[in-house]
Formats: sequence, structure tokens, C-alpha cells
Amino acid sequence: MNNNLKVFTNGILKENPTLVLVLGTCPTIAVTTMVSNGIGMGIAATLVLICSNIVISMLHKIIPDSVRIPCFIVVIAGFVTIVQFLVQAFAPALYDALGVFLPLIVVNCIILGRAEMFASKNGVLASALDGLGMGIGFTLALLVMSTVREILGSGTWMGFRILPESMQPIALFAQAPGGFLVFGLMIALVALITKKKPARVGEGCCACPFAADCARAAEGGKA
Amino acid sequence: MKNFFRPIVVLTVICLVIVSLLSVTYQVTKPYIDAAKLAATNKALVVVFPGDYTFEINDTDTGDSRIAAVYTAKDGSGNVAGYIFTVDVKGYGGTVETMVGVDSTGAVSGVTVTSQNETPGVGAKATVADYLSQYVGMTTSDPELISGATITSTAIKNAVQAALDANAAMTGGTAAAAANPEGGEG
Amino acid sequence: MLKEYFALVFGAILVNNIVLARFMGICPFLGVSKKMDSAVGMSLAVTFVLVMATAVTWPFYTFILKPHGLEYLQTISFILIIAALVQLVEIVLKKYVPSLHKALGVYLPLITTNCAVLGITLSNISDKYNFVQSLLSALGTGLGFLLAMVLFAGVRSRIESNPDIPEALQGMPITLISASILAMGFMGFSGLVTGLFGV
Repeated sequence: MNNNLKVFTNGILKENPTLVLVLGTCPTIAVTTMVSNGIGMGIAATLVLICSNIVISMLHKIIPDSVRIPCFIVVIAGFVTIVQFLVQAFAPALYDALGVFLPLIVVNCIILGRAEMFASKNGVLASALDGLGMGIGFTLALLVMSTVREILGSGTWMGFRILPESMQPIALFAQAPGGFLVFGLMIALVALITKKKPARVGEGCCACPFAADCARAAEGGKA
Repeated sequence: MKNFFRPIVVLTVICLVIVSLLSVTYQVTKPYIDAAKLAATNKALVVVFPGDYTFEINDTDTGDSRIAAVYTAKDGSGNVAGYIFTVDVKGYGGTVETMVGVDSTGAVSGVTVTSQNETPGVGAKATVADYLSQYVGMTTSDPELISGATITSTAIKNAVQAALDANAAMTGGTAAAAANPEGGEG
Repeated sequence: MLKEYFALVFGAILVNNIVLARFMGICPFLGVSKKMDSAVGMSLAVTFVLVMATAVTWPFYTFILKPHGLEYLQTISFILIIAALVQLVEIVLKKYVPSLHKALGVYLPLITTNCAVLGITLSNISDKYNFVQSLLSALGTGLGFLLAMVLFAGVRSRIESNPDIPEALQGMPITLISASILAMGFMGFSGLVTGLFGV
């Protein structure tokens, strides 16, 4: 039980997928303009993560190594599509807001990365907990980022006015540059708090299954 | 040989299982998805054409590719009270889907934005009800644009004009002619 | 017509730059932009896959999925097509154009999970582009990616060799902050397409 608890809390701070492992950067910057979108994305991704981790953990013994990535992708894509249906049916406003980033959960490095790094090597319960922990870590990171960006960029939080009408919000935070900026500063902050050096560039997205390729590619392609 | 076939078989089986799972889920959730879409459309129709009216889909081909749908608004006695157009225009961050209602005098009865991806706090300001209320009563689209959000506000201006033009074409003439219910198709 | 096409391509490169305005393809953008030649190599490979993926996914959606009401299989079929395509391209290159394979081959597996490729193929459908427009948008996106990568490689080579950066900011944070400034620069292009082409 103690071990499982460790697995669960791992994803929340120590190995937070967004701020420490630096995976899944694309949706992090794109959907954190508003808190409701950030939370929505976080929950959707967590659902997919838990389900795919469970299924892949159950199936990993029968999946031959050579087709493991395509198999993982099919399973993940299946769950993403199901989540797409659910969001479209029960939260259509969120569906509109997330746009193309909802199906893009398929290629979110967090999910593929955890499938490869954890679910394919561990039992079902541990994988489910890992999925839950990582998902919560992701959602928390999105929540904090979108809180900062929504309050500074639009003066609201979850649609409620926070800053007085007279204060002009800094629209830049709700736009592209603000996204990169807040993300970078948050990674630095977490590094300060956990007293670990922040991910070297290239290290982060390389917790992906393609880590070896990434390193090779970064070094200029000499195979 | 087994080494070659087994991976492909496993992959294919997984694909088939997932795809069947998806079709089942799709059938189950489709009614909810359709209901949600319908509810959103009805809500928007009431916003752009306030009052005691019923709405039905109108199949007229307006010839304008931006107009995605046309609805007829009918009053209690079944008379045509106006038309509502769903117009898709290109904004700053993608398609801005607007709904424009035009009453029988050829004036705008209401405008609402049903889908947009504009920048929050900037372009998005042009999509809120307060801003859009200025269109009510216009027979030509001549709004005050939001400075700093010109692309989004111009897109909406064009959408409203497209609706007015389509309405004029459908009712067989200018606003003045449209005030006489004699002209044109229902 | 030609004007609209130009506007589309220019728009995709500058105004709606895939990385700096649409937030897709950030992983390789941050990971592979360290050296100029790897930046160029990756971008060319991405452009190639983008155009080819569009060339296959658009007809697949229009002539197979849509007529049978199977639009909901879009996500899963597109990603499978992309993955298969990338594998195929790698095999073909290795056998027939080994020089190209040596230059680009190492980036290819990475491109399968590149948000940009799946993202653009899906956007082409949701933006209701026709076949030519889809191909042009894919081409423009790839070129935009190339532009962003090359600019950023230049920026990074200066920044990362600088010893004065505080420890907490070293690595990813300072890279992201530099990207934010680059993104700000690109925001200046917003009126460009409308101004130049009147579209």
C-alpha cells in the first residue's frame, strides 16, 4: 500500500508531468487562457490516462515489441474518441473551447510516455494509480497556469470578475507570449521549490518513447 | 514466420476491438450529442429572434457559401415573421459562427456568436451580447468596430451584412419591399 | 483565387504560425532547435510528412469516412494513417534515397507524435478547406515551422552558452521565456495578410 501511495503522489509534485518532466507542452500553453478550459482539459486527459494505463497494463504481455507503439496509439486514440463523445454530449461549451486540442490528447506525450515508461512494465492497480497521479499533477499545473493567465490577462477567474473594472488586464498574458512566459516561470519556480535543476531542454519531451531518437536528432542526426 | 505474422495479427485484432467499441459508444452517445446541439441552436434562435415564435429549418440555397443554415421564424398564426441565418466567417483565431436574425422589415432582430476561438479579452470582446446589441434595427451592417479587435469585429460586420443580403434576396428586394409581405418565397 | 492561396500560405507561415501562435509542435521546437542543422533537418522532415499526411487524410475523410457517416473515426484513423505513412516513408527512403534517409531519417519517428501533424490534418477538415487549400495550409505550416525553428536556433545558441543565467532559470525556463519574446515578435504580423492581399 505504501508503495502504491508513493506511485500516486509521484505524479503530483516530484515527477509532475508538466512542470518537472515537461511533457505535453502543447495543450499546456494552448488551453490555459481560461481556468474552465484548463480544468476541462485536465479532467479529459486524466480520464484517458487512467483508462489507457489500465488497458495497456493488462495487454502488455501479449503485445509484441515491434508493434507496441502502434498498439498503444490505437488504444489511446480509442479512449480519446470516447472522451470526445462524452464532452460533446455533456459539455458542448468545453468542446468548442478546447477545439482541436481535445483529439490532440492522442499525441500528448504524457499519455504515451506513461504507457511506455510505466504501464507496460507494471501491474494494473499501480498503473491506474500512476495514471491518476499524473493526471492530477497535470490538472493542477493547468489550474495554476490558467489561474495566473486568466486573472492577469482578462481580470476574471472561472468567469467571475476578480480585478476591478477600472484595472485594464494585461491581454498579453492571455495570448501566445504570455503562455510561454508563464510556463517558463512556473518551471523555474518548481525547480526552486524542489531544489532540483529544471529539465535540460530536450530531456523533457524525451521521457517519451522516442527518447533515443530525440537525443540523436538533437545531436544533429548522426545516427 | 510466426514472428512476422503475430505482431500484425495482434495489431489488427486490437484495432478491430477498439473500432467496434467506438461504434457502440457512438451509437449510445449520439442522441445526447444531437440533443445538446439542438438545445444550443434553439437557445441561440430565441436570443436573436426574441418573442413568441416557432422556428423551422429552411432549405433555401442562398448561394453564399458562408451561410451554413437558414431558419424561418413563424408567429402564432403561421405567418413568416423573419429569417435567421447561421453565418461562418473567418476571424482572427479561426471560424466565428454567428447567428443573425432579420425581421420582416429587413432589419436585424438580433445577433449572437455561437462559436468562436478569438483572443480572450481582445477579439472576444466583439462576441459578447453587449457589443452585439448595437446591430439590432440596422438595415445595413454599419457597426462601431472595436479598436484593437478590428479583425474580429469586421468579421462579424461581414457576417451580418451577408445575412442582410441573403434576406433581401430571399424576400425579393430591398428592406422597403420586404415590409410588404407580397414579395418572395417563404 | 491565386491571391487567396497566397494569403493562405503566408497566413500559415507568419500570422498563424503553427508553433508561436497555434501552440502545436512545441516539443520538437524546444527539443531539436539547439543546432541549426538539426533544426533545418527536422523542419524539412515535418513539412514533408505534413504535406503527405494531408494528401492521404483529406481524401480518406472526404471519400471514405464522411459518405458512410463514420466521421467519429477521424481521430483514430488519422493518427494510424500518419504513423503508417511515417513508417513507410522511412522504409522507402532507406531503400531508394539513402542520402536523404541519412539526413532526415532520424527525425521521422518523432514526427508521428508531433502535435502539428495530427493537428493540421484535423484542422483542415474542421476549417472546411478543399483539397488544394488543405495542401497549401500543410505546406505553409511546415514552412512556418521551419522559420520558427531557424530563428529560435539562432536565439538559443546565444542564450544557452551564457553563464550569467540564474540557476533556477537555466535550461527549459529561459528557453521558454525566449520563445515568449519571439512569439511577441510574430504577433506583429497580425494585419499582414489582410493588408497585403486584401483578403
